[in-house]
Amino acid sequence: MGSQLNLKEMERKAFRSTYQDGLWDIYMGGMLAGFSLLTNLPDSDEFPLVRFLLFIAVIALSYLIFWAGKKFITLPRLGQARFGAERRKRKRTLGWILAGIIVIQAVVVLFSIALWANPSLASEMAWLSGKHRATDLLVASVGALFIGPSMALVAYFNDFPRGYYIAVVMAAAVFAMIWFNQPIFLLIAAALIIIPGVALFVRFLYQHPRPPDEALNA
Amino acid sequence: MLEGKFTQNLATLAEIDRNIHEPARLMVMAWLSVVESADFVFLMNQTGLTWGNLSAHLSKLEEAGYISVEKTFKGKRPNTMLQLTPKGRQAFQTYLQTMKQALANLPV
Repeated sequence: MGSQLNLKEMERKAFRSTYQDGLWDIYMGGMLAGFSLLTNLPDSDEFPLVRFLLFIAVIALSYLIFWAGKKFITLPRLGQARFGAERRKRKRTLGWILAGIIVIQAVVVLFSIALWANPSLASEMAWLSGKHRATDLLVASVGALFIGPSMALVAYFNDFPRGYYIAVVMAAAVFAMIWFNQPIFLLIAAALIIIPGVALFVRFLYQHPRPPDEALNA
Repeated sequence: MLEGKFTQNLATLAEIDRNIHEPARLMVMAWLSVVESADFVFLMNQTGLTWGNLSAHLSKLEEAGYISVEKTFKGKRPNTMLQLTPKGRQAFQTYLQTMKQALANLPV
């Protein structure tokens, strides 16, 4: 009570408290680790689905950790609050922006498929792939520009400052993976995101012991 | 002139809503004013009050008609969500304005 009563700051603090458990970081890092597995594992003729199933398994495991952690660990310790109309509006705006980004990504993917399937169109676009390093640079930049700003937007609209760090790490990893043709960069980035997440989670458990049963059942 | 204003400010202080003015209840009102609704554990965490203490203050605020309590079940566990009533929100705004007015011109 000694500090000044700043309602806006209180709302922000309450909202941001939902991220202090580090579970979001672990989830995002897990997703990246899944993509890393998808690109790292060699193609198998005997089990063509193995690689893809492994990818799905890692993504599902990351989500399961996120969901179960929130439901059984974070919420009982932190409680829950519904935030006002302004927050919901930001969430909706983010939804529309991400939908737009997905549409642009889909167009790029379809365009790439059209190029592969149509050699004459590909030869017309040969200027684009005239110099191998230039193509790599273009693809690496486009990849990084999709991932980085998308994640930065998520961070901005969700008022999640660590999201900017995640955005930079993800964008750098995608760029390095394509530029150096080394999928290991995704795994390094995943570790750089997951490790702080786990540290935050442990700190959260220390700082927030489980409240008494009467409070949980109130 | 200054003395008259000072006396007027003191008179304003006497009109302060005592249901809100108590520090613990002021914290509860402030936290509930920045969210749409919150549960018991959330308020315990944000205010630092114990279960018993918070429970007592919430009862007072509910009696005054400043907060409403919505009891539901999440699975087998009861879940209580608390929120400011329109009357409570108005009372909190009035309280803030009154305090601001009263304290603004007090000689330090």
